[in-house]
Amino acid sequence: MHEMSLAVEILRIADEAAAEAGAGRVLRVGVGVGWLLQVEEQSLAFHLRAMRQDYPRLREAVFDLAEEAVRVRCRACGEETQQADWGFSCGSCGCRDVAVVTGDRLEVQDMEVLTDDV
Amino acid sequence: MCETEGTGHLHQHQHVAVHRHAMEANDEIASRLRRSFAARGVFVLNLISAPGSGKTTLLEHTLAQLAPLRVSVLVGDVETERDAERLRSCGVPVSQIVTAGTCHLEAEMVANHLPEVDQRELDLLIVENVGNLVCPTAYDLGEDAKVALVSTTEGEDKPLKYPAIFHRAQVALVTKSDLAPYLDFDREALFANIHTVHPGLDVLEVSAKTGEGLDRWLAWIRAQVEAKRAVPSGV
Ligand SMILES: Nc1nc2c(ncn2[C@@H]2O[C@H](COP(=O)(O)OP(=O)(O)O)[C@@H](O)[C@H]2O)c(=O)[nH]1
Ligand SMILES: [Mg+2]
Ligand SMILES: [Zn+2]
Repeated sequence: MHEMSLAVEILRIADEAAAEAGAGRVLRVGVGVGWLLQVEEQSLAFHLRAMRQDYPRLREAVFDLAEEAVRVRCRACGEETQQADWGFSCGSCGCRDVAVVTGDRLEVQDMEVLTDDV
Repeated sequence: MCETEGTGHLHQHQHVAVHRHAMEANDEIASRLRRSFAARGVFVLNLISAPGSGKTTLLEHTLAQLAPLRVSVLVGDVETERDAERLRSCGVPVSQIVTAGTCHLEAEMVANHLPEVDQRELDLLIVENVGNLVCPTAYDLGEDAKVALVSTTEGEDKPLKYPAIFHRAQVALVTKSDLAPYLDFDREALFANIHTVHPGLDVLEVSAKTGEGLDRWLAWIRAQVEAKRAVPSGV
């Protein structure tokens, strides 16, 4: 599936952000995996481990993948509620006219880095 | 502050907030395409299904009937030009995107191949995605509507097994309706499963073989093209 392309993008973003922060080495990368994207976490982790070798700053980086639940905001009552399954509806009033607010992104959230102290 | 690996170099631990979306590069190209389509009033469809659900056959049986709309087609496949060759006989510009292993189309591929089929006053661009129900769903191509196709032969639980595409689609097509009588096809169950994932989604039943339901599909497309044209350009 497309986990390999996703891994390439995550590595590119992490490497770019490390360069911007003046970091020579990245220790940990926190990645939020939106439930809606149906990403195979194991496959994504495999590709990240396999390809981090190509990025000198990321060679020792640990990738922390955390599933991000889907939350929706109701267009009728305005409440934001977490969803347990497909067929999203407002957890407060039951209305099905809702907008997804979280859970649809694959995001490089944060990193622990070592900056060279010159 | 710490000394690492006895190198004598001092390193500083730092926490860096990033918050960048892995699809950002694709999404940026897709947004650019969407703005340019909007400015020209071009309506764009992204057809997504499992391999063999009938995307190319449906286009073969409907492209000619879309006249006088000016239509162009981009068709994605992992290998070969076969689908494009099938569609060229319909008299519309067609370009094949061979992805060479990639299981989905990306916005950049659309941007690269668009000049091959672009017409001065294009009304409708149809993109036939690579046959796959998972990966194409996540890649925005700048389209106005994703169309999820599922054939009567695929099993009624398809929407529950591959919910994301049905969740994101603006319309679902149940293809090969002519085969339903020969199968243990449970129409009510398929509709119920689609609507579990996407309440209220428009579902059209079509057969490219007998022509059943094609009128409604063509009418749906024409209405969308009209609506897009009516929106002032540059939005
Ligand atoms: N009976 C029947 N067969 C169809 C219909 N549409 C497509 N097929 C057959 O299904 C197979 C796959 O169709 P194709 O259009 O290539 O699927 P694609 O991979 O989604 O583009 C072909 O053998 C078609 O002849 C239909 O409406 N009725
Ligand atoms: Mg095809
Ligand atoms: Zn509500």
